[in-house]
Amino acid sequence: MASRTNEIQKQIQDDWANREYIEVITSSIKKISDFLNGFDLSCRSRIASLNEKLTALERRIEYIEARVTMGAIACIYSNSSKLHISLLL
Amino acid sequence: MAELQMLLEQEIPGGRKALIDSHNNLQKVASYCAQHYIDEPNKKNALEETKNFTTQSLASVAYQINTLASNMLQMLDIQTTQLASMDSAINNIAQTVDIHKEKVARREIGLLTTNKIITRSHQIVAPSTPDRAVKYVRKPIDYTELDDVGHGVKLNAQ
Amino acid sequence: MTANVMLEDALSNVDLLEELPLPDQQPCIEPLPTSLTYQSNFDTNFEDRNAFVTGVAKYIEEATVHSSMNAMLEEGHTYAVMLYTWRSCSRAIPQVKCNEQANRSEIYEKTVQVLEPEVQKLMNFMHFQKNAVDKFTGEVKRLCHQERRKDFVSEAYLLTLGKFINMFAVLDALKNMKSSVKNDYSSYRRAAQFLKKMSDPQSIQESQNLSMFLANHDKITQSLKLALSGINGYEELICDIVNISMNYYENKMYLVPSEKHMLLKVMGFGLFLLNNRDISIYKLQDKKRLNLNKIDKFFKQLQVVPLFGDMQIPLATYIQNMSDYEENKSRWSCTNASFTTTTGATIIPQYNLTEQLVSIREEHIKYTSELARHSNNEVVTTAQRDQPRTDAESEELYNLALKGVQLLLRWSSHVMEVYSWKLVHPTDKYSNPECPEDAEEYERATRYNYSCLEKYALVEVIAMIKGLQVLMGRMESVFNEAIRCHIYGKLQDFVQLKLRDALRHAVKKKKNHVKSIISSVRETCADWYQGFEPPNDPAIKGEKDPKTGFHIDVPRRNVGPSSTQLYMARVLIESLFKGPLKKTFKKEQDIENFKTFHTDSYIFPQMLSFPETLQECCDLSQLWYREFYLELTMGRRIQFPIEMSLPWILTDHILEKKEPAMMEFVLYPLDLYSDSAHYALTKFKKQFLYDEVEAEVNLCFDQFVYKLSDQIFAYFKHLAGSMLLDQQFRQDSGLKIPYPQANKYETLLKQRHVQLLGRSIDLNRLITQRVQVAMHRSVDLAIAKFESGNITGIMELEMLLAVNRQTHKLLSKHLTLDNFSSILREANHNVSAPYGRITLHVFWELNYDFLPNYCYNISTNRFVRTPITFSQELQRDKPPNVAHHYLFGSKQLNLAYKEIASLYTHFIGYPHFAAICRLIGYQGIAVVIEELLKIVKSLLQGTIVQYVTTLLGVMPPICKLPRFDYGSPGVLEYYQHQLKDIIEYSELKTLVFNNFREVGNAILFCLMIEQNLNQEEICDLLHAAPFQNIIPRPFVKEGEKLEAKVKKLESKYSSLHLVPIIEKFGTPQQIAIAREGDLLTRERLCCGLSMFEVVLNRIKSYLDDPIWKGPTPSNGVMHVDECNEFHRLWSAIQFVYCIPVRENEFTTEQLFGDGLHWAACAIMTLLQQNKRFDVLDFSYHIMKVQRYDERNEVIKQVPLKKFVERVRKFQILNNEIFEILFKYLTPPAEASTPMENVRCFQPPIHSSIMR
Repeated sequence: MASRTNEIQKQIQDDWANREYIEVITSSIKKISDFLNGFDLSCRSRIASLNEKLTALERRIEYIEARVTMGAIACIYSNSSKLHISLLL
Repeated sequence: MAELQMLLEQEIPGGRKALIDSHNNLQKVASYCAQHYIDEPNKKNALEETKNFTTQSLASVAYQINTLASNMLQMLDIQTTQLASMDSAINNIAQTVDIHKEKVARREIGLLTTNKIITRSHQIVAPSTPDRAVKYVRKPIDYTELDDVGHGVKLNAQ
Repeated sequence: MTANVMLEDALSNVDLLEELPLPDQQPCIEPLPTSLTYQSNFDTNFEDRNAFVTGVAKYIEEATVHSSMNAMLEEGHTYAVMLYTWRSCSRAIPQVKCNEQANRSEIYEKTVQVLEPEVQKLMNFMHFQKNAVDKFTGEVKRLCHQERRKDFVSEAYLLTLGKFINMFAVLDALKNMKSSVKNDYSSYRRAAQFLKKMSDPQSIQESQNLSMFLANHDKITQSLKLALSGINGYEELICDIVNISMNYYENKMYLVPSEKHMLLKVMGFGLFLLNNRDISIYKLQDKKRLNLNKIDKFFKQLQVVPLFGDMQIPLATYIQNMSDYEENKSRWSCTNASFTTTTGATIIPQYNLTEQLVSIREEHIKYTSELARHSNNEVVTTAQRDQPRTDAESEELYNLALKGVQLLLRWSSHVMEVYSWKLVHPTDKYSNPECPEDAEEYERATRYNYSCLEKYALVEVIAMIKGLQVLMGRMESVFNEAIRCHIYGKLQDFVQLKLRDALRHAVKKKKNHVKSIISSVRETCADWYQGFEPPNDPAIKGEKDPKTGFHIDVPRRNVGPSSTQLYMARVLIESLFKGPLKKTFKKEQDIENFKTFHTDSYIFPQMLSFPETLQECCDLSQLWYREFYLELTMGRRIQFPIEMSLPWILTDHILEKKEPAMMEFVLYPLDLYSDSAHYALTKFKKQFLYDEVEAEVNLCFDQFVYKLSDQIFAYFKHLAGSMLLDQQFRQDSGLKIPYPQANKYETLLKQRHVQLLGRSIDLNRLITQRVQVAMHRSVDLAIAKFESGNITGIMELEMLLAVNRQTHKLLSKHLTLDNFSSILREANHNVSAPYGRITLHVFWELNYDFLPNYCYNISTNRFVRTPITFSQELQRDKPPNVAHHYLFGSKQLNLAYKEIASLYTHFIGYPHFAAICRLIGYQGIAVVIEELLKIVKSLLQGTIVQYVTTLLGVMPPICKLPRFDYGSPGVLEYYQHQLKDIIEYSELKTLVFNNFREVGNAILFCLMIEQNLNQEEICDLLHAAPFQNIIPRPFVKEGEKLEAKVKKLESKYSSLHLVPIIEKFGTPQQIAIAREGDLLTRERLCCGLSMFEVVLNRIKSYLDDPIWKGPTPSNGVMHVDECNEFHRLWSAIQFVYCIPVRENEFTTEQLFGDGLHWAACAIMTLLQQNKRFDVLDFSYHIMKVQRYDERNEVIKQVPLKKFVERVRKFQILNNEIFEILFKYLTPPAEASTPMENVRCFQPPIHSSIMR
């Protein structure tokens, strides 16, 4: 009888040890997931600022391109379209 | 640049692939362990073996995530510097274009201008050689001096 | 033990992750952004009960029942969800109109096919409900069995039975509420019967039961009551259940809002169940089995509780529906009318959130500061966490976590209770004037039901809940660990130490039953240090401890007991101090120990699954669901518009009111959608609900970003407008011009990754795009406004552009926008085109309004509009009317700036020309002058030359200067006679003068534009000087030498000298640019170039027509009396305008200003006729004669004296103009040589001598 109780006792003791092991593993998985969240946020903000700078540069290039390629015929119609100045440059 | 290329081409996709592979085979390992635990009479070592697998997989996954993350961060740094240099290049171009435009504008208004000579002539110029004061000598007035001027009548030359 | 070694490496790898730098400067004003949620739940729901063989068999068997009950509760929940989220399908199916309809069989086929699965679900629901009732009554019968009465029923089990009661109440209420279920089933039955599908009797019977089941009201409660009435003594158990839930409610033994509300519902529904056959709750109260007063107090204090989703249940209704309620009405205070009526219902403190807000804020601040203290030292210590936390530390953290969860629980239950109370008490047009007559039911419950303060209070509490959730979320792993250690320690200390006395006592007194229970508890839970029970423990033999005390060192592990282990321990302990065994214990201390352990451990399971409990405490997802109200609309509404859904109401409220304190909370109400969507996916598991939430979020988010960016642009424009408004004007003017209320947009603009519905949104980018467009539009409108007005509008345009530039500067601190000059150029259509809209309009106005309609005054140097215009009226586009923030920022600012600008609208002077120079730049000025010259050319070679020819034709051929002897009147009369035709020439005073005035104005424009341009350039040069190392001449005292002083100054300011610095540091390209830039700044127009001279020479080139010069003089020198040159004509004209006009007439100055004189004088100077004009002018001659003889008569209505005064005035004017023109025209080079090119003539010989 005693051996059986010891047997059960041992099982319960092992159960505690195993469950502790499981807790350690789950907490480290939790740490990894926290790290990944932090990583995600930080990368998103960095990518966002990179993206912002990129779009700003693109817009500036477009603007400069427009300024430089003087259209062969630039017809300027003032919005009241009464005055047409067409300049051949 | 090459470093970025290398990062983009090999390391990051490689890291990603490694993670996906470990994802798949971890599932396989998990199902194996479950199956093994059921068939294996000696539950103890089955459990022990499973624990080993878990620890090992945890270590490897952590490591893979670490390398991939640091690669990603490194890539981001390089790209930031690249963008900065591009930014300054565009600044230069923008400035050259502006200068060009300004020159065109000035040429256009130049047609309407001539150079105005501003002589900085000082109104009062002190003579270089101070002229000596001339003593006053009295001369009597000769009233007939201007007789032959301005009346159009030809006098016979005296 | 390689595993352990490996474990260390694994853990070190995980900790290594912490080292990676993860900078994120975004201020967190949104709920916990988690793209990856990981939650582990080890609740085994008693699956592992057999493992605990050591436990008492009775409780193991009870555990099995318990697990099956839990499973049933789970299934009950799925059916509740099915009912709640049921949307009527039959309404969508086309009804069969009449019997003969051809395709009716096909329609029926389709109906059956569609409704089949739904009806099957209803069938399962009916069967489930029957099993559940049978199961419940079976359990009740088992527990109310005679000999079981003596034994005790464990609290956990009573609570599960309570949950069953709650489930029945919920299912029944849902079934009553959902009429669409009945309609669907009836349409299915009709279709099925028509198709003769239900052939076998059994299925007919089934469908009959189902329709009966669905049709009548409160079917489940009735069948439950019927079944219960069969069990005698069931009221005792129900009373136990009601008492236990009352006790738990009172001692706040709950950790999640749904549990709190469940306890109240159990009390209400439990009493309702007791109202059966002959049992009366009032009799039970007399027998002290029930305490109705306390329940009454609870129901009065918390009247309305959420039943399921947006279905609410006023608790008092349970009491009111009881049959014996009428007689005992007096006992119940919670049900009396004054509280439940809607109109004028005094808001009881529980639902007055604004009042509660003060205490909530206090708690929040106190708790967050405590939490911050802990998290700070946690961050510091986790790094080198070598030895585990001491018990005290764990306990402290445990209590901290518990307190946090309890706070969150109280707040979120508060919010839900207020929301539910509001749903049950919709407002109407009496209590809320804003509520329109025809407002819908749901609208009255949500949209008009909250006052402004209430909305703010709601938002603030939601923000506090979610904010605290973020803080606790960050500490989650620390809390988990501490909780596990604490619970482990508590359990092991209790089991291994505290039980020893009770065990010793039981062994000594031979109480075997107690001994077996205590030892079974120890065996199930103990985790002995050496792996087995210390053999020599005296307590086991019942002896006393030795003097020195028997020391057992209890281990510490970072793990909590498994769910079954804990359940077993608690049930066993409970059996010790409850039921028959209670009397065996003499010592109070033991009972006390058991009780405290029992109550403390009640919340252990929920604390062990801390992340889940935390999330459930902060779950506000039910604020969006409105199935109950959708059902009420009976199909009129598929879904309610966003104006009626609470999350949008709150967000919109913040945006509309622009309340600075609330602005930073604006993301929290938006996050309610994420909660609802999460709930729809995980708990309701209904895709269509998720899609509806998503659709609404898409709509709301668009509105949100639109309003936010519009608001931000308006705010910064208003700020810029007030910054640039002239302060002097602000004080002196009577208008009240408020500054914009400071607002906190910075944090919102820093948001780079906002989490909404699982997606991450870069708010900054969206706002930048919209603000960019607004910026463009605002500049475009400024130019459009200028284009719709005359040239004086240039001043307002410059002010507008200055305000826009300032706005751009303020915005650029937070957003990366295009630089302002590119925006201006784009709006000005000046990017690829050389000349912008401003230049075109300036020229347009000059040509069509300035030249013909403005009179110049040389003394004030300004142009004023002529009273009578001779050119045809100019029609312009209508100025764009547009929101205030697209102009100067606000209504008052617009008025103020309008007033300032109006000062400039009545004249054109230096300020306008300066503004024109700044705005159109070199290129603009060049093209404007070119065009003006073309116009002057067309005038000079067109109309003017024709007028001159006709007028010269009309001029008398000879017009001498009469001698003094005639006297001034005579001379005057002579000229009046001679120049009669010119005087009477009709168009002279109108068109001729106007044309001359146009030429004059053009010349003046060129002159003044150049002067202003030079001034601008000088300003630029002076601004640039310090950076080009140009030092102004310092004052030199006698002793010092100038060069030395300048050298010293130059060295002092060398750091400012730009080009060398760039040469030192810059790249070659930058060096080239710097040098070129420096060159361009240095070489400006004003140093060395003149434009006006070129203009005059150009005009000279236009005077090529021979008429201007007239024929060569006969005497080879000049014409004396002949009137064939222009200057002679102008003398005649001058004579005309010198004639004083009658009172009501306009003088030429008023009509044409000095422009016309400028034109004439310019022409004469260019034709070198100005000297001859001075000498031979008629009016001047009259003046000389009049001066000599001082006569003042009126000849042909022309008063001589007045005439002469006018002549004198014009003489001064002409001389001044000649002087100016002379300065520009004669190149100074020749002036330096005193010699003029003099031609010598022989003096004429007197005729007397000639003969």
